[in-house]
Amino acid sequence: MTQQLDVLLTDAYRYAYGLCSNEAVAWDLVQESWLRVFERYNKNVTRPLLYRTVRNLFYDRRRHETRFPQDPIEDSQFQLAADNAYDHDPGLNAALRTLPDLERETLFLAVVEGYTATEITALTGHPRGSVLSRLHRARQKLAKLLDESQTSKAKQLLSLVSR
Amino acid sequence: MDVEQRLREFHAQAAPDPIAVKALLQATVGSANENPRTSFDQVVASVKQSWALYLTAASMACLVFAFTGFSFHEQGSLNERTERTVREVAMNHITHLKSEHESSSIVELDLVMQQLPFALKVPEHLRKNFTVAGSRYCSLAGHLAAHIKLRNIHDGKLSSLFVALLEQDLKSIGLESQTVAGVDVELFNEDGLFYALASR
Repeated sequence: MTQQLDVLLTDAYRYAYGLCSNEAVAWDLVQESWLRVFERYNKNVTRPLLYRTVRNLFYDRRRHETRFPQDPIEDSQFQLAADNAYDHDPGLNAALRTLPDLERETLFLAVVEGYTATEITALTGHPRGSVLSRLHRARQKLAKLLDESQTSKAKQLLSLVSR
Repeated sequence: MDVEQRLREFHAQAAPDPIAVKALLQATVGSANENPRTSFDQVVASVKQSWALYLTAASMACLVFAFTGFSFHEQGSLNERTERTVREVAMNHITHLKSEHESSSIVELDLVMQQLPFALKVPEHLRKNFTVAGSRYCSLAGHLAAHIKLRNIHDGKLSSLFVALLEQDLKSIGLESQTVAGVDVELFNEDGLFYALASR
């Protein structure tokens, strides 16, 4: 039982990380969501329920940030947590952070979690057409960003070699 | 490498601190196991044994409900909120997330934590026994808060002080001391700020 919950929390953390791209914020989201759903449903917490709570909490916080004009906390935290982030692919991490929240989320759900557009529609409540176009845009942007970062890296290497 | 494959590998690396997961489960699932609720079947079986008892209990419950009514419900939800806040504070303390800013000066921490809608300060009564070690942003009962790490000058142990602006809904949280999952949590207000001190 505890093992199953362990896996559930790890998956929820991955989803939260996919939403916010920040370790500390992701764990905060999971922790608060877990306390909320566990209090209400005890051990009958299901994956969709926990995911939905994480998602609602994330967008609630985003709305709160928009309503109270201040520099988004996430942006500064991205910088602060950059040293601690999963460093094996910093280029991808940086590219993901530039994507809008909804596009990053859709991309994560489709590519990492393997959900179909219809399943993402059920989870997020957004129309299927919007999900598909977001996914398409996110893929295009990510490929372009990664391509640009590869080109600039190659240029840097060439300039080092030619010196 | 294919972008999607790269994305999958990147996210496969993302995993929470296993100690934090264990602590969270221990504090929630563990404490639920310690005080298991009576199962519904057991209740039904015992009620069926005596109809007279059932009728008496039902009429008593109606009377109690009618007398206490809304205030009872309100009190219940307030207590729940307090308890949830206490648990959240204990969990945040146990998880030991890294400080984003490290300094022994509260003024320096206040300067770098510009997102906070209030000025950081350590209450007078804590200054005698603690020195500041660092801080990070966090959330407390749904509000943006600061997690200040304090070091006890006597035994060197780290405690956590959570500070948030004392907004209307935080005023309804009971000010009390409780021990959750081995963490002593104390809630208090001072100068328009809501504080929660957690220590082991």
